[in-house]
Amino acid sequence: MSHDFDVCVIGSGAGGGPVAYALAEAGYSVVVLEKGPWFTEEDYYKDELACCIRNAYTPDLKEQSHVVETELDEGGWRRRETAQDTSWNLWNGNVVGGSSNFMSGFFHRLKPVDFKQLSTFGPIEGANVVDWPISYDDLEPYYTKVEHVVGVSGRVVDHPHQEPRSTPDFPYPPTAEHPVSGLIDQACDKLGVHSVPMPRAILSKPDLGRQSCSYNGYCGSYGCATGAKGSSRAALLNHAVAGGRCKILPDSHVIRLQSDSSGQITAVEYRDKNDVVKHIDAALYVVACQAVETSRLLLNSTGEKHPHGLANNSGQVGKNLLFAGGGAGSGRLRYADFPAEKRDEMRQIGPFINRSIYDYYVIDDADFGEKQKGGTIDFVHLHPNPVSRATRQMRGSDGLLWGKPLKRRLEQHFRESSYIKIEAFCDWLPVDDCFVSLDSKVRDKWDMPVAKARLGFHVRNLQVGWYLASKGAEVLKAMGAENVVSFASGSPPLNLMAGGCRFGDDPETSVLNADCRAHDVDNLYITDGSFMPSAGSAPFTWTIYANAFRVADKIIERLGGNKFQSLSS
Amino acid sequence: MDRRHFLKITSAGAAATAATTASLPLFAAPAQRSGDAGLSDQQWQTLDAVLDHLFPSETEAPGAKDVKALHWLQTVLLDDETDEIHKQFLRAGVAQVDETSLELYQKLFIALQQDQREAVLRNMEKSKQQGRAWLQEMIRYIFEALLSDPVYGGNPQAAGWIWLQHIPGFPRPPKEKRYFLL
Repeated sequence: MSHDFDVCVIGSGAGGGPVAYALAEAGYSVVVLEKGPWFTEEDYYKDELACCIRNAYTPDLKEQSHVVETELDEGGWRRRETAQDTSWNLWNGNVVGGSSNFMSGFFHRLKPVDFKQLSTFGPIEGANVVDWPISYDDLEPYYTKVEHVVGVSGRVVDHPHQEPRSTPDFPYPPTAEHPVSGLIDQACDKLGVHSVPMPRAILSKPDLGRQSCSYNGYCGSYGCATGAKGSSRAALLNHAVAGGRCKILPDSHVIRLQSDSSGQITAVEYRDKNDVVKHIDAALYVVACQAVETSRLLLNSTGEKHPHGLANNSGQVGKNLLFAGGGAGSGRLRYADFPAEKRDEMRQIGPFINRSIYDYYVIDDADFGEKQKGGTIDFVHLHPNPVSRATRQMRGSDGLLWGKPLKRRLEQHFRESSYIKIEAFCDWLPVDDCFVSLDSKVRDKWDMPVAKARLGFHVRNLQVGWYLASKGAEVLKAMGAENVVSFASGSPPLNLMAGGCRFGDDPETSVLNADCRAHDVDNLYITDGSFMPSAGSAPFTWTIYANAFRVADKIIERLGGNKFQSLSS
Repeated sequence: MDRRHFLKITSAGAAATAATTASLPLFAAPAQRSGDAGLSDQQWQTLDAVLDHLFPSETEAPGAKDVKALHWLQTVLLDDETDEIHKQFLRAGVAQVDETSLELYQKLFIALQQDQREAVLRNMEKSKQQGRAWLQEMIRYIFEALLSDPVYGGNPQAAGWIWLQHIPGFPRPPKEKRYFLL
């Protein structure tokens, strides 16, 4: 049977890019549908209004919004429509390359224990903890592939929580480091913990047809103007397109997946940039729209065999939505406390801190309770965005600050100190009260129901988040930082989402099988973070990339193998 | 105070200060910006005075006037992309400033002494519906004018960045790549 393309990929971010890249490289025709525009390095500038205030890279919330529900202290749920309450924006970058354009590229592998949490630590009351259907060993070759293809810089050091590696070190040396990195190393030595260089998806030298990092200090939240950041667009899609077998259709918003009486997908229905409804068909379909929108697309794609939404015959689509759990903190280093010759170095912006602590990845501390999963502590600079930083200075102890007192506070904040942030990551435990469904009232501009995300959380997230953040705070104090604070919150980081279509061996409790193929739709794969049954204790972009490459190999195998290898053999 | 009394005082105040009405040259506005900002000349003067009070000019430190904060707000109010509900909120706050001034001192805000202006804005912050939210938003817009890239019309000659010793990122947006043209 002939199709328009061998594979149709919906979504061009970290989940879609590897599939398009690998399939095209293996000789198959691929089309990628992306709802947003196709920006390149020529469009990305260090413009705080564009990235972070006027939200130039995400849809207009008046036209395409979400509904979120957060738990009230007194019980029950508070409903917010993001068209009105824009601080709960669930869009993270709707452009070619998706939100990987705007990531910081803090790259962490999951560790072997993440794949067998249930069998290692046992069940947790109120949480749907499971083992993964694959092991770390299954994913390791693909973590390594990402290091080489996407480009990961770093340095392997010996420490107790180092995960097994098939290669001795990273293919790219670490990015340039700020003097603060050395201060963290010294403080950790004093405390007896291991300060580990944090890998980054940033090229530290020109390679792979891309330039090196330019160290301008504005990385996370901004599109990269040099191509050094390993976005799905810069690292994968540009190459896939150049090879001639991958076609990207930007400004193409998929409305639904159509299926036939056997339950298979027959076509994708989408609206092009002129708002004209079009269809594409392919042998296989890959959905990677980021967790919330992936679940929404399936739920909106009902059919004869899928009355409750595609791949949802067990009612699992949208369930066990995950975020990155954790805590945060900060401390201030006053330039005046450094010798005069060090102050200019301390004032630099551009070089990275790049330090992590993994000593508490498993917490074995009698004061804290039974041995349990902990997480990762990252140290980073306070984001340099000036309007956002200034805005946080207007709150005084007795109301708003304005006039000359506000101006003096701004001078103090901007001129006198450097601020170090703690970002602590722990598991966001999968719970029944964190899920995606279709909202019964709000619709988008094409009259399709929008996604509603209920954002319940397990109290363990908070406990572990507090624990990790306070360990990070000890390091900042040992560095001599002032005003050190640490805390945890039940509010999810909306830019780090996963789950909703977990993979597993049992079709009753999972949406996808171990190959990330839908249990009840033979020609559907899902390759964004939706597949994750648990989130691990670190940002998960590297894991999404690695798993998407793994699934791409399964798809290539199913389609008959690499066309070029079979020709040459 | 009833509406008629308010209007009477307002028009008297406006007439009294007509000679000092600030001129408001428009930005070279992009094509999609059109329409009416929805404030009277007198209200523009009130807003100008509020911004000046919230962020006064000093010899060594730029204030709202120096970074063209009033023009910034004019752009926001003229921008088709700005949500209409938000525009109404911005305009209602300006009206509330003069309502509060009249309530406390029977004069328009621009006719008040510094300490009276402070009292009016503090009264709004503590006691008026949406007063605090509006003041926060005014300060936030001043910061946009102070610290955004000069290509957008605020932060002239990078005065805000230079004052705070802030190092901007590069490459900086050229005129043809401003966010609303992407």
